[in-house]
Amino acid sequence: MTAALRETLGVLAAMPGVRAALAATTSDGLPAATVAAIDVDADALAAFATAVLTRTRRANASAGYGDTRHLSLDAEHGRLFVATEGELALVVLAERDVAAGLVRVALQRALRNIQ
Amino acid sequence: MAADRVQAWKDELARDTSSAVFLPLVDALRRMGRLDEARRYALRGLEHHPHLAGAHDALARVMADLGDEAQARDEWQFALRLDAGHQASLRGLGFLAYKRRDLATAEQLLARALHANPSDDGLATALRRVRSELRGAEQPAAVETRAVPPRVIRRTAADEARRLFAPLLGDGDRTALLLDHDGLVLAGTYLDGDGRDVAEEIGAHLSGLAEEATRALEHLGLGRWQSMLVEAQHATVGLAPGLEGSVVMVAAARDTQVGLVRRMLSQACQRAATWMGVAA
Repeated sequence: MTAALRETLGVLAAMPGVRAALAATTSDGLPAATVAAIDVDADALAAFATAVLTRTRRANASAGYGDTRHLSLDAEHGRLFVATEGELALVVLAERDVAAGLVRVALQRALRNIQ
Repeated sequence: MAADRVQAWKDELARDTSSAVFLPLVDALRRMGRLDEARRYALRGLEHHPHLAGAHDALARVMADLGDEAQARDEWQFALRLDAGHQASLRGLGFLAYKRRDLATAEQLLARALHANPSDDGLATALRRVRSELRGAEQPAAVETRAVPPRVIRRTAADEARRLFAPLLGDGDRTALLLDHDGLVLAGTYLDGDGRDVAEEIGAHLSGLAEEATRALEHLGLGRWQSMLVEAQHATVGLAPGLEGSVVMVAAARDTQVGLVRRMLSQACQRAATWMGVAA
């Protein structure tokens, strides 16, 4: 894990309401680096986030909508955010009442920082 | 705004009745569901451009949306007489053949269309699907002799399903779709940037999504999934679970506010639930 990536994930994980921040490669769904609360299954999170991302990417490509850049999923007890550029996906798992707009901006900034 | 563009094209045609802007105008009107108007402009355009394959394609698409597949087929065949490699016409005829379960013809036409534009991923997906079904079709004769309801009744039901979300979508670049738990299209349309309905391809890519999300989110302790927003380069897409494992999707041009897409999604879910209750 590079220092820049570690620092980036640390910043994301320190946001109020965020339970996990990880970087994963979209081709295999494996986490490359993780900063997460102890009760979060980072492997499962990375696998699920990248799988959903891959499906929606293909669907968007079929529809001619271009590259998929950001994804957010609302569930009963939490929210999932994914920002992607090329093969890299940054994933954030957060509480239900997290400030979604702030997370979105932070993810976009984080992607720029580590490119 | 789409409405402004439509008016500009109409103005242009009023100034110059032979202008080629009838092509995007017809397409825009068709996508808005204003099919009678689209047909009028397509016919007027054809009067001035009878030897333009694209003009016949434009009318064919409108007729296909109106449910008049016979005239749509005639127009696409005429377009191919003018331009044997006209990709949109090959594609249109291919999808008509697929709809009537003439898989061999569909495969042939879609393959020719893909040959004309090998970079068309959506078409490649459709062709793979047709070929897969073709391999699995053990008794094609049985399909042909299967009893079907009267044509007019099928058309009405199909139109109703296709237009399920039309009242929600307004006149912008928006589209909506309802998929069953296997990713098969139940209702609505899903249009790409060229106005082509890619609903079946989208469904194929998203089949099993609801189940996968349910399993994974349960494992992660997040409970049921409620909605998803996906921002792509040219569109924002919203998805939400519907009744019986179905998935509701809406998409809007990228400049549409994300909050508005979320609202459209919520309304589409309500409409889909009502429709499925009635349809059941």
